[in-house]
Amino acid sequence: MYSQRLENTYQFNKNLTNHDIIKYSCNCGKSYHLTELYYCISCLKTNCKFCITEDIDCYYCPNCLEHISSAEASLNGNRCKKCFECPMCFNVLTYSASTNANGVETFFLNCTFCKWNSINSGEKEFRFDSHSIKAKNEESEAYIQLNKVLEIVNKESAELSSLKDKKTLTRIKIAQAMKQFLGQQSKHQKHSQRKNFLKSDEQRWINSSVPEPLPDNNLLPKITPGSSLLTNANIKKGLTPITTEDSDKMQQDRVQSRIFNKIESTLPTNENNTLFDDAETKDQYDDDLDLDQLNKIEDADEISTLAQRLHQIPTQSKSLKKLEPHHRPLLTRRSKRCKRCDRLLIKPDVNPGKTEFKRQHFAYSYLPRIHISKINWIDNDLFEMFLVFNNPLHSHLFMNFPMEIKGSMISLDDNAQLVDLYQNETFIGGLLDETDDMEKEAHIQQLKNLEDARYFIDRKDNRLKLRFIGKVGVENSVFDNNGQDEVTHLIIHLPDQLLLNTDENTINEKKFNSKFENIKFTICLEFSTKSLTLNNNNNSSSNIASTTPKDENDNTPLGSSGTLQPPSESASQKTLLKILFDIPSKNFTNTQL
Amino acid sequence: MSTSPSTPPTPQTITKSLICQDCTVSTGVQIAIGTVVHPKASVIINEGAGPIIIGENNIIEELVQIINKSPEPLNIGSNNIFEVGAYIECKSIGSGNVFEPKCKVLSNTVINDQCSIGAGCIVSENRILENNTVISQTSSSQIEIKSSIPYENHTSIHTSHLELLHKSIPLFHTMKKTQL
Repeated sequence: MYSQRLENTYQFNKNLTNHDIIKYSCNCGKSYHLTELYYCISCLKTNCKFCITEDIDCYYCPNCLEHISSAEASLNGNRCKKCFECPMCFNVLTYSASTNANGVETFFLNCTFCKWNSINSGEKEFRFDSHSIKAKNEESEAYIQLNKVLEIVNKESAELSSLKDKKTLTRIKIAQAMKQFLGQQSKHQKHSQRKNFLKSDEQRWINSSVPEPLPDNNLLPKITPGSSLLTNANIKKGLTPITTEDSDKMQQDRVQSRIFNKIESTLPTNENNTLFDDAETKDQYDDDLDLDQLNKIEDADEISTLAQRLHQIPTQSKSLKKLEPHHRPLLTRRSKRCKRCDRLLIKPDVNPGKTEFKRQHFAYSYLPRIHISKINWIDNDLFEMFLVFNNPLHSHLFMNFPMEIKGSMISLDDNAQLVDLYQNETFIGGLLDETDDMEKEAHIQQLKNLEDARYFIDRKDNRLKLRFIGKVGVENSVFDNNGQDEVTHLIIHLPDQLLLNTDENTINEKKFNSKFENIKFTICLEFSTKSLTLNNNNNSSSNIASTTPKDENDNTPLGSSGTLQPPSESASQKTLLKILFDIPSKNFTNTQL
Repeated sequence: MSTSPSTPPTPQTITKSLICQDCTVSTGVQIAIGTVVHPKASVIINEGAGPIIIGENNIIEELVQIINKSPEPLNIGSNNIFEVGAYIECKSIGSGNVFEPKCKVLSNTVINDQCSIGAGCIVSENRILENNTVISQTSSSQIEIKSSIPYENHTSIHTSHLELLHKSIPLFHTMKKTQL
């Protein structure tokens, strides 16, 4: 599978300049910044945001940090009961009190930032006691419609549950699904239970969806009182296939909807609305109801912005005066599980005041962290790169650069590839450099002796600096392999003219032109906390010994020689990681700009 | 402070204005009793312009600029607060107003009593703000409403704020000598 560079999703990764250069590939082929990945320690694979399932652990208000049970949260529309948001600037409103001349104390909401307050700002005073807010909600049309549907679905599912043949079972499932989708969940259902009738991708939307009024959706069943929703006849009626006539009609409707409808009847019954006094003779159109109102506005600041309107879903008023504060939406804490093995990756603390995790498997604390210390051209289309590997673990990390892997070595938009790789196993020390294992220690010593100064620049504590040489342009043969899971070989052709200048300090003043604006290439890396070779074959020492002379003599294109690790039973012990580089050529030290 | 420590902290009557050494005050500026001018504030009269007359119990915080460019005098009432970085260039100001940080009041504007200009707001030229006008700035628009609530909040803390400043500022700053 080809890896693919994707945009970083987290806000803090988005606008930083260097956060798109190095991306780590997830097992599913998408690649992200290291901080956006998780690492499952039982599958030994990385998980991106598409490879996890999420469960909501708790709801809390970001303002008052109060823990709210899921039943209570869904009862209040996933909003905090106490905290209000300013309709103008979306800050949190504060409760204030003032005493008037008669000594009567009145309470009101006040925005300390934009000075909005519930007494003077709106057309009329905003009552924010729970009673009047509830009454207002219950009056709304959407609420009534939703309740009707819920009632019927509830009734039917209760009826159906007594029957147990195959047909009714599917109907029970549909009824339950609808109940869940539309209704307020009374209980937090178990992961496995929900799996029954929902695809995993849909799962996460269930709890996160805010029970705001549902949009007018033709697919939702229209309720006529007294009718039953899930009888066979009704299901059939609901599932009539769409004919070409219907689709033509839909298309026509779409065209029609762009033409503003004239409104025949006289307009708003609201007496206060004097705006249309002089407009009565004119034609009225559906979509520009307050065109005259807009014309009368002298100051464009009196019109609400899109963001303000979207916070007022029931009214969506265009006038600032009609905006009303709403309760603050709740936030959630979610536990995340690996989609492959269902193990917990992230478990947050349920107490909203605490910020630490109970369980955290971020890739950042397991994968070797990589950064580029220097990259420069050594010839036309040839560059050398110094990579620093950091081991975040306390134990040793063994790694190698495989010559053949299952799947693709490169990503599709690569325009360069590495031509010179260290082909043996190597290691990075841990933070606490303690080896109690004699065998391991001996092995490390052995690996150390084999190190070639051409590749190994520096080794200190848990850092390792390696040199790589890459070439612009990708061998066609790499692309030929379009099969999804076939084994591909990395083909290395070291150009003859390459003079391996091992002296890092020679300063080459020459500037080179870059063929591409961005140099993109991929490095494959296998790592494990156990030695990759030691556990495979007992005669690892001889294996290494037998292969090393070859490396030193000439860099034969690999693929045939014995340096390749035979696939073995311990293959699952190591993690394959593809690191995708996307380096702007201006970041090379000696690019001709 | 010269008050003996044995006396209980009675609300002392403010008998003088505090003008820090580090602020710029042009000649021709009249400052009444009780007004506090923080360091780095500037009250400037341009060449050929009229005087600036500042009333009682105003607080002029750091980096505030009050500039008079017109030949007429600029009258400022009492009990106003000019918060950090405000820029005032207007015709006249009443009393009990709040100017929040970095607000700008441009030339020829008249501000009456008990107004509140929000942080970062720009009040355009030639305007007349009536009593209890509240102007505030959100990310998208400037909002103007009539409300007395910001004024009430302001008056409830203004006297104690002044007292605190009169106590603490002389401890940490050198004062300009005034004629009083």
